Amino acid sequence: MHEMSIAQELIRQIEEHVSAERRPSVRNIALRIGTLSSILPESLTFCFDALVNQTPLQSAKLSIELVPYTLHCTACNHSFEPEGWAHVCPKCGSSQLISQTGQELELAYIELEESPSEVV
Amino acid sequence: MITVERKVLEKNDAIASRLRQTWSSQKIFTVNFVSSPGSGKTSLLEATIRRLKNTMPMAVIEGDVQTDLDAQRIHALDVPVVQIVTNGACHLEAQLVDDAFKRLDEKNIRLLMIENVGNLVCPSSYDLGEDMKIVVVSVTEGDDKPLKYPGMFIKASVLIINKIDLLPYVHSDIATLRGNALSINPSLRVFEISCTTGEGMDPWCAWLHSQIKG
Ligand SMILES: [Zn+2]
Repeated sequence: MHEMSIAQELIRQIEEHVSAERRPSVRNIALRIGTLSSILPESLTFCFDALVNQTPLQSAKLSIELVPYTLHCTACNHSFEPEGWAHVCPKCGSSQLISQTGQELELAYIELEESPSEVV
Repeated sequence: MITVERKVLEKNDAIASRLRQTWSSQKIFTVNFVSSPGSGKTSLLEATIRRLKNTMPMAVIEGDVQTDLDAQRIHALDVPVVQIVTNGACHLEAQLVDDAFKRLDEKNIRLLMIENVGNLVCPSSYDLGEDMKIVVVSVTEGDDKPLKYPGMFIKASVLIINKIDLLPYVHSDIATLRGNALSINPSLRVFEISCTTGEGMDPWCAWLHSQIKG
């Protein structure tokens, strides 16, 4: 299980962006995880919660957006979510496809408990 | 709200990019072998080294959770080898490989083979700076392996189907295994081999040799 080391990296990044005194007000950590990234969202949440327990970040929760696997056809510019493992463009029949999304593991944004107009 | 928009593993990716540049400038071709435990990666490395070690200088970085037994097997073949013991971690990270490469006595090499920890999930998230990932599956593991671990098969460039000498004794069907893998990643190059009988080793080694730079 590599979700523990990923959770550690994630916390390191959060700490880079949020000063120590503001960490208790962190409420929501928005992540994007591709369905082919080999990351289990439940395991990552479990590890994250365990690591932030009784730390200034303990009120922070992960919200995970799952990004589907999509392909892009370089022949006709069509992007699509393949059904199963099809490897032909449904629009033009070309097999010149490159994978577009599905491998993400990204920290999108951090939400703090404060008025949305406050400048960060 | 603080907009971040960063890859969580960007630190690992940055080290991997630096390694890739180093190896590219030194004309070192680097492969990262990944598989489940027991698929025969170390035996494959041994058989490959025996066939190729007199044709070019090479070295091995061995990843293992606890022991250095695999490194001893490579060392016995008189090839430079550095062991990484991950102490429980289920994958290699670029920083560990960077440290290991620094420990390598002989850097004037053309081929660097990294044997990752036996695991088809975790290593797929970590770029090690390799030129390509090579996934090894033995016929005893069942022909649905690619469907269970698509994340790894989509990232690999080569599939080695190992232990084909055992085909008469197992239920898995090699055509199904190959078909499943190619359905996920049509650009996979597939080799079918047996380290025991040597069957299929020639085309695999010839191809590997052809990848060497300059
Ligand atoms: Zn198309």
